[in-house]
Amino acid sequence: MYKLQDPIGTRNRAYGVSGWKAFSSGPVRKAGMWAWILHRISGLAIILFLLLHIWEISSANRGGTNLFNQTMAGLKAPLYVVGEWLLFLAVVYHGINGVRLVLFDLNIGVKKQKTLFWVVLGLSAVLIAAGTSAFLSLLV
Amino acid sequence: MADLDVKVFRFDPDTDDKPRYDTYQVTYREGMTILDVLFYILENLDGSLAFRYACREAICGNCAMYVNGLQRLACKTQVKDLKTTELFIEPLPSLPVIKDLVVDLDSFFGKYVSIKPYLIPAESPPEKEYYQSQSDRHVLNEAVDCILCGACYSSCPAVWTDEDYLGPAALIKAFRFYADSRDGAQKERLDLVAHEHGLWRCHTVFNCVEVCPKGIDNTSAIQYLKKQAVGRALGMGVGKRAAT
Repeated sequence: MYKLQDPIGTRNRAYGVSGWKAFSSGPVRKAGMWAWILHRISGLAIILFLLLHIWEISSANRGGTNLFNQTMAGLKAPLYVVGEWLLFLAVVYHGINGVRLVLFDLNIGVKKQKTLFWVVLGLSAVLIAAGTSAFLSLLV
Repeated sequence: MADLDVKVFRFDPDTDDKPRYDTYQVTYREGMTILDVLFYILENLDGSLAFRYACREAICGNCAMYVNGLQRLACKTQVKDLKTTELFIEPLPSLPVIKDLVVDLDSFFGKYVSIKPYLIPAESPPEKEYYQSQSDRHVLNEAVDCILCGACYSSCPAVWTDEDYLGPAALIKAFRFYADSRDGAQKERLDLVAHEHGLWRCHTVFNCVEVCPKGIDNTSAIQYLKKQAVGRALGMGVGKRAAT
């Protein structure tokens, strides 16, 4: 049989993570793909927050009460409020879509996955709209 | 419909360093499929184009390719349905290219063989035929339709990033025999798929369901097997059959 000399070099596009872009730019009937990409990105964002959170809380260990109070005061800056709002978006979507995925693992609603994705987006939008006013009051 | 502007992925490992795209002007006629377009190019414009085909009626699974951004069977895809005169024809993404539109399916079929895609009866075969009731057969209706074209395998992001992942096609075949009322090797079958590179690598992205030219719901079958595997791990036993 003919053996490929350079399988990596001749792979066409849409391979590995670069495939995400290729697939999401094609015809629009890929609700599941979008749900998954958003789930991954929001999950990574939450992990990033966790690391920042540990760093911020550990200021009490590094510099005692003074440094902790300083750090907490610094976090009132608008940049961090916006960051916290982005975290809020990620947690809302990741949590609600997580329920959708748990249902799939119980073999419930697998055939209704697109409808469920729209339900997830709808519920997320309602919660985000309700929560955003709280963030706006922090900024003003 | 006007003439078609067809861009085709070309690569010949003997002469080319890099792939390129050749553009062909193809005269449209009513009822033309993507496979007809490729035949038109082969017969009138460029005899060196390589692609796989056999049955021309969506049952052999040879002509799966990436047409205008989606894995499709060339013989089953009407040019009219694409609603454009600009066509992009490429080999299945994520698989190594042998020449032009021909991809290397060794890994795909290797994984298919690994799940033992044949009946393993519990006892010695009966003297006449195996009895299977209509309702038992009904459970397998979708799974037996699979023609092993590789469209789902090529569209799956878990396959893109895990070379050892069995993929949707091998798993639907694992389901096809696991759920068969005549099969007696359920424990062994579950062992073959319930591991890191098997069932649990499926992240329910549903790309396989979107692209399957036979309309098979791969994900339902995979989720069914996952549930069976969890049930067994929790000591609830295997062997309970249920329709998907």
